[in-house]
Amino acid sequence: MYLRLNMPGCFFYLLLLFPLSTYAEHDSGPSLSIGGRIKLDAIYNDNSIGGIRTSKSDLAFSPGAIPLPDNNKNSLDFNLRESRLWATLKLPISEQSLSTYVEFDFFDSKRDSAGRAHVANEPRLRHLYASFMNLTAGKTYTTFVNMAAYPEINDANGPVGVLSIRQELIRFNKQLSFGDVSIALENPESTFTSASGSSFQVNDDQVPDIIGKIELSGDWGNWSISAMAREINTDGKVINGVDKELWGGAISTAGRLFIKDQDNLRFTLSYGNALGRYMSYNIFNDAAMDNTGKTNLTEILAGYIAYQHWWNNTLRSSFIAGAAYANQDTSKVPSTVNKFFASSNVNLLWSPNLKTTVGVEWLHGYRERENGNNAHLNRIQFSAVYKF
Amino acid sequence: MFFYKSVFFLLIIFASSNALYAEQLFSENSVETDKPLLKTIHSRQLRSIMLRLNALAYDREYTQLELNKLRAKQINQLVNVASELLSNTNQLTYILNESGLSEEEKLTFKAMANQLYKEALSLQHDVNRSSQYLLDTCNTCHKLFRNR
Repeated sequence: MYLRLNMPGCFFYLLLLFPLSTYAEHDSGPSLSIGGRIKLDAIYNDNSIGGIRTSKSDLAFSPGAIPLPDNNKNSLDFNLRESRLWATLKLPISEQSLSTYVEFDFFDSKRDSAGRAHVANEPRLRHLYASFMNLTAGKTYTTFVNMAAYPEINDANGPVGVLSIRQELIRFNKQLSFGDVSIALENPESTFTSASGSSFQVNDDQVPDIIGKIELSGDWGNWSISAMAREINTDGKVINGVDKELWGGAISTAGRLFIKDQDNLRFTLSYGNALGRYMSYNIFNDAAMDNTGKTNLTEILAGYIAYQHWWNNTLRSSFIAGAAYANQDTSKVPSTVNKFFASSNVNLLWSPNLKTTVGVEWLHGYRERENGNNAHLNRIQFSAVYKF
Repeated sequence: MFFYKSVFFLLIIFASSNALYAEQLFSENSVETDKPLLKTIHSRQLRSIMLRLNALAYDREYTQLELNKLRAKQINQLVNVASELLSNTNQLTYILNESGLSEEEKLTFKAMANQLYKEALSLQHDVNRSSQYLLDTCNTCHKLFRNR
């Protein structure tokens, strides 16, 4: 049996080995609960990445990886990588309780799989955090995102315009009369487009990303506004000894509104010059750097809108359209950099009970470069999910 | 890609009109008293809570801790509404008498209201527990009494 002894892997195997008899549920004592879901996906791509091994981008929509020009290679892949395992542990402390949470999926992308006799499904840490009173510390969804606005879809990554990164953070949250207020310091990382158009990342960030969010909710649904300030820090060792820090910001509004019965409208609209890696898995970089080391922040406008209609109590469909646009100076970056992305999804999902959902989804993706070259992707995805 | 660019434009208009829409929905959130039985008995509040609980049951992306928090919030509201309904027996008796239900139906309705309260209370004590029984109670009650 192949066993990888990396940190997430160790956590995962310990989780499985943890004797279930220790499950305790006393009001005064610690309580542990373990759960998860099994998700089987069957995905047919009409513009596959190709190659010998199955690419992660063929399994989870990555707009920046849509082959350009079109590969015209079709592919069918089955996988279980979006299955998840989680555990919560609650420890009572005085009148409060300390909650810890760990969650894994199987999307470790270090090895793509040839899939002849064994498909690589190595565990990947999604969340590991602790919450006590108003404080949360650890790795989880960024404060910038409103998860209530996330559409119900089969695809693992979400539509273009989605904000769903998970990273290390310290967050303070307070419920006030008008809504929930959160302030967080989060892990900084700067991503750049070089003068040749390639992406690179530096690792000398010195100031955490500062994020604030106000979230309102009621019988009508949920609505949030979030704002972020980031220092984008270039590394002097990379380009001509130029070392520069630029401050940028971004704002986002998102929500889920109940329209009629269970029908709802979910949306996110974000704008800013420091939105880069927070949006759609870094399809645009935070900044571009020319040959002299001069840096310009990338101004981005992105969003999606998703309408979910319930045909009856168990059958529903979501209609989703998303887009993202970057305003880049083509005198400083090559015309081969990406300018515009878009996606649309339509699905039909059925849940015979609260634990099981099966459904089929059509996805169309679009990618366009500054020079006008573009490519399309069509994907059909069947999914079956069982929660336990 | 005219379609996608149009979506962008619509999204911006939609986001800016969002506040007005939310305000309108807030103002509609009053209890109606001149409608059939279920509407009279806090049905709007109960329905709204159940819709939100139902939505959480199908949610795929929240962490379990977040889900537990959100469910606990809804269940607390549900317990409040259900206990208010049951504690005000005079009001309940009056409403049932005015509803035109048969004696057997009145007993069934009271039993279902009790069941709702008990299910909500047990969920309040254990948010990890499935809310399937609660949903079944609600759906049965709605089927029986929605138009009465």
